[in-house]
Order: sequence, then C-alpha cells, then structure tokens
Amino acid sequence: MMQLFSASQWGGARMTLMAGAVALLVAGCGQQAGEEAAASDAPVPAAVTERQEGYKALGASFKIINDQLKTDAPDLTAIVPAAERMNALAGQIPTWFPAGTGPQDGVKTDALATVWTDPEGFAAAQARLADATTRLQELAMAGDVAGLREHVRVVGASCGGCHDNYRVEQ
Amino acid sequence: MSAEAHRVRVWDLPTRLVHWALAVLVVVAWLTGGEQMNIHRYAGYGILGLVVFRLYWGVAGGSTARFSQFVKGPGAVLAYVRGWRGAPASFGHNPLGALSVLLLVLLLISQLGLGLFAVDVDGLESGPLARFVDFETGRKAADLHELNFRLLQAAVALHLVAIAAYAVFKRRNLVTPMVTGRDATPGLEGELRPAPLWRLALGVAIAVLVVVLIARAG
Repeated sequence: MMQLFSASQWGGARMTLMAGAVALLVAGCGQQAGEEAAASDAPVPAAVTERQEGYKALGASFKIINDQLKTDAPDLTAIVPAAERMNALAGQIPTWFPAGTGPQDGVKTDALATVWTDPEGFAAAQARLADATTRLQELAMAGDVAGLREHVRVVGASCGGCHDNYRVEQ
Repeated sequence: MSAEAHRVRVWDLPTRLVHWALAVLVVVAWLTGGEQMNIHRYAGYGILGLVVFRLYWGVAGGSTARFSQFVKGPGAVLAYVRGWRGAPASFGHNPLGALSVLLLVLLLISQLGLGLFAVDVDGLESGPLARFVDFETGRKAADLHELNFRLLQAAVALHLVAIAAYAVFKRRNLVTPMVTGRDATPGLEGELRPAPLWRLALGVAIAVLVVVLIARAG
C-alpha cells in the first residue's frame, strides 16, 4: 500500500488523500501482506538499483582482497585498487538512501526503515565503515600484508555493524 | 544359549562411526552457518572427509555398507513397498531405505560442493574454492547452499520419520543396531563380511588427503 505515498509526490494532493485512505485500510491487514502487494507493482527507484550495485561492488572488492590475503603471497596490485574502490564506495553510502526509497515507501528493498528513522545511528555506522576502509586503503598502499590480514576483520565487523540493524536479516 | 547369540552383527564400526559423526557435524554446521564461520568451515571439512570415506566404504567396506549390496532396482523397491507391512526384516538396508541413503549422500555432496564456492554477502567469509569464482557466482552458490540445506533437512526428517515408522508399525528397533552394530530382531538372517583393516586405513588416508588438498586450495 505504501508505494502510493511515493506516487503522491508526483500524483498531487488527491493521490495523497487516496493513499492515506488505502494505507489506513490496509494497515490492519498486516505489514507483510501490505509490503508484498506494494512491492510487486512498484517500479524500483534508480537509487535502489544504484545502492544494490554499490554494495555488490563493495562485496566483490572485499572478496578480491580476502581471496588474495588467503594466499601465501598476496598480490598487492590486485589488493590496492580493490581497497581504493571500497573506500570510494563507502564514502558514497550516505547518497544511496534518499527519502522515498525505503520499505516504508513500498519499495522492494532489504534496507530496513531504521535507515530513515534512525539517521544518526545509520550515519555513525556508515562512518565506522568509511574509517575502516580508509585504514584498509592505507595499509594496502603501504603493502602491509600482516596489517591487512588483521584489519579485514575490522572492516567485516563494520559491514556487520550496519547489516545487523539496518538491513533485513539474511 | 545366551541372548548375545541371537544378536547378529549388521554394521561394521567404520559405518557406524561415519553415521554418527555425520549426524553430529551436520547439526554443528547447521547451528554455526552464517554465524560462527570458522567452526562452520571445519564442520564442512569434517563432513567432506566423512562423505569421501563413506563413498569409498560403499565399494570397499563391510558387506552391508556396500552400494552393490543394498541398492536395488525399481522393481525390488516397488515390491518391497507393496508388501511393507508383512515384509520380513531386512539384513542391513532394505530396498526403500537404500534410496534414503542415496538421497542423503547426494544432498550432502551437493551441499559440500556449493559450500566450497559460497561467499557471504560482505565478501568476507568464503568457501575454500570461492576464489576461483567471482562474487556474484559465490553469492549464488551461497543462496543454493541455503536452499539445498532445506532439502537436506527434509531428507533427514524423512529418515527420522521412517525410523519411527519401523518402531511403531513393525516393532523394529533400527537405532540400537546403528549404535552397537548388532541387531536383535528375531529371525534375522545374514552375515556381515567385514573389510580388512588395511582397507580402513586406505580409506582414511584418501579422505584426509582430499580434505587437505581442498582446504589448502583456499
């Protein structure tokens, strides 16, 4: 039901009223059912696609680093660009969650509404990741393999720090 | 004559050990999956070794562990199912139970294969062979790993229901023989031909070698 709220942004006041009425009606039917019904016919906002691609690129880059660190002689020429990419992506995260792209807007997303209802907490979690990836990039550029092997745990924990509270449990 | 004389040997020790070790490690892997990935990984290596050994034991082990001894054609399975209530107690696996063994082994193999390539959503944890595939492929493997586990759970549930059904409807205790190796079912006839010790040693060596090679690849 909730996608009508975002539709109302371009649909005018009448839509807002209708949306409100529909929302009230459907609210009693359970959030799950409402979300599914809404998610099935709502177009996926570009921001959602962008952040999904962004997180996939983060994961793919982190995998490249961890794959290398598992070997006896990690290839720094693979690790450094991956760490740079992670650091750049981590800094972009605040732009990936514009208003109207959450589950509360009827968008099919694994992001939880807490991203929008707890912006300070989310920003802090994002900052923790950004700090961790900055350090990751420094260690990579310094060629400190032992330091990297320890620090990937910190980076991994900062991924989890966000995933625990701001994403649907996998 | 003592009661002991009526208990015929059915399962050799390696078959029983593999069975119970699998039961324990599959539960461990289940509880640690997605949480304690270090333990999960070692549980997986353990299961890999056990499955490799069980496949080997299925051609080289004691008679009741051998696939050629217990896997029967569809005709025999159908005949067994039709006459299930009155069917005499089978020595070792019955034709229907054989299918359950095959199903469990196949699901374990696919579960292991998918786990070797699985990557977690963060790109932090991954199976030992995951570095040979890209992130997206590793994520698909992880999704299928989870799906296949549901199938494995269902197969284990079926296995347990079947054991209960034999206990309730046929008054047949299938659990004790898997623990002690001996079956006290009256009228049960058959002879376990155990495998020599060197075959056991060879099987253990093969299983350990496979696990070490795969673990080191990662």
